[in-house]
Amino acid sequence: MKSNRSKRKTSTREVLAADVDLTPIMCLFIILVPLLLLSAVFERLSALHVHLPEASTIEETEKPEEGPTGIVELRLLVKVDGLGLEGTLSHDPAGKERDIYEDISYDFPIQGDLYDLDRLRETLQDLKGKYPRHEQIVFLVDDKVSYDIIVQAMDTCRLDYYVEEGRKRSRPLFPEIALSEPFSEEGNFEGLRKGTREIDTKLGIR
Amino acid sequence: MAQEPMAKIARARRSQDMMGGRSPVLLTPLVDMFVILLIFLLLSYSTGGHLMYMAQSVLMPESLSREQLEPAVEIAVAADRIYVDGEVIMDDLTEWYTEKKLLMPVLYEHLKLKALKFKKMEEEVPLFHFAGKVTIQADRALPFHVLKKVLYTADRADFPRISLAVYQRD
Repeated sequence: MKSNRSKRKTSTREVLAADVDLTPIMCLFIILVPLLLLSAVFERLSALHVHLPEASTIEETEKPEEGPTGIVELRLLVKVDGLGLEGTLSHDPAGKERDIYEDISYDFPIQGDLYDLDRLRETLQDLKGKYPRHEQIVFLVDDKVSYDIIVQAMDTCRLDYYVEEGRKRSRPLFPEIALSEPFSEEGNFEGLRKGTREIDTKLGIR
Repeated sequence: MAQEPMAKIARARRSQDMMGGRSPVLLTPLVDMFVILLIFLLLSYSTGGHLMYMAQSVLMPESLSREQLEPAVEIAVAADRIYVDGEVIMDDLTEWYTEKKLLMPVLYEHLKLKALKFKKMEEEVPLFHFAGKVTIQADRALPFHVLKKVLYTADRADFPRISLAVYQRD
């Protein structure tokens, strides 16, 4: 009886000391790892939506609509030597209190090689605090400015990032961005439309 | 002296017998490594998104935006060429760095034909809807006056809903 119990004890110990057979899990890993590696995304892409000013808007800017300086809108000038913020803001851009407006004009010259995006962000935060109903901003970009600068400026204008209770959060500033060029005297839009008409005729559309 | 290798083999055989006839390969570190790799890959696994033609020599800018790219016609603008849906349509942009006109005729023609094709499909295929969406991948060093010509041409060719493709930045 005694010897029998000791025998059972040894066999339990033997089972505990036995090697776990890792072969099935290795097979699983060998299949799963290449599969996941093939579908892995190391560089994620995202989109930035932009609007273009419509031809009618370009004509409308000629004649002032509301307020002494033109239509109620916020404009960001992106120049080779810095940024500028100008325009007319109203508490109620589409409603009845449209006549209560403020003209603004700020200048953020380039600091060394870098655009002063921090000061731009602070100014935009102030403006959003004062005029929360404004959503739109028009970018007037100079010809020589690189695309990278435009995207950085768009990031600054779209969302405001802040840390609350240790978590990174964001709130919209002026998320509706229209890309345009500075107003110039030599507007050749009629000539351009003629260009498309010629190609359309060639393609047999009209 | 000559017997020494034989003695070694004999010793090895004896030790092999002790291991139950198997060589002592330890799989545990390998499994550990695979587990870490698996967790890392599962974390970076993305379920959404769609495949995109990535044009060579186009280094897109980085942005904080997290908006998803949607399936659309893709225009890629490198410093010297333009691709539409992965196909080179203009291979010399030198004149467009000095040109004043906004409309690029070759690009316009390509896009207009695509738009026409989609509109025709919209009439024939019941669930197909043409929304005029276009995604633009442009090189980060591209000057705005070249980019604005592409934007303007796309808009004129019935693709008014323009998205700019960017790399995500943290």
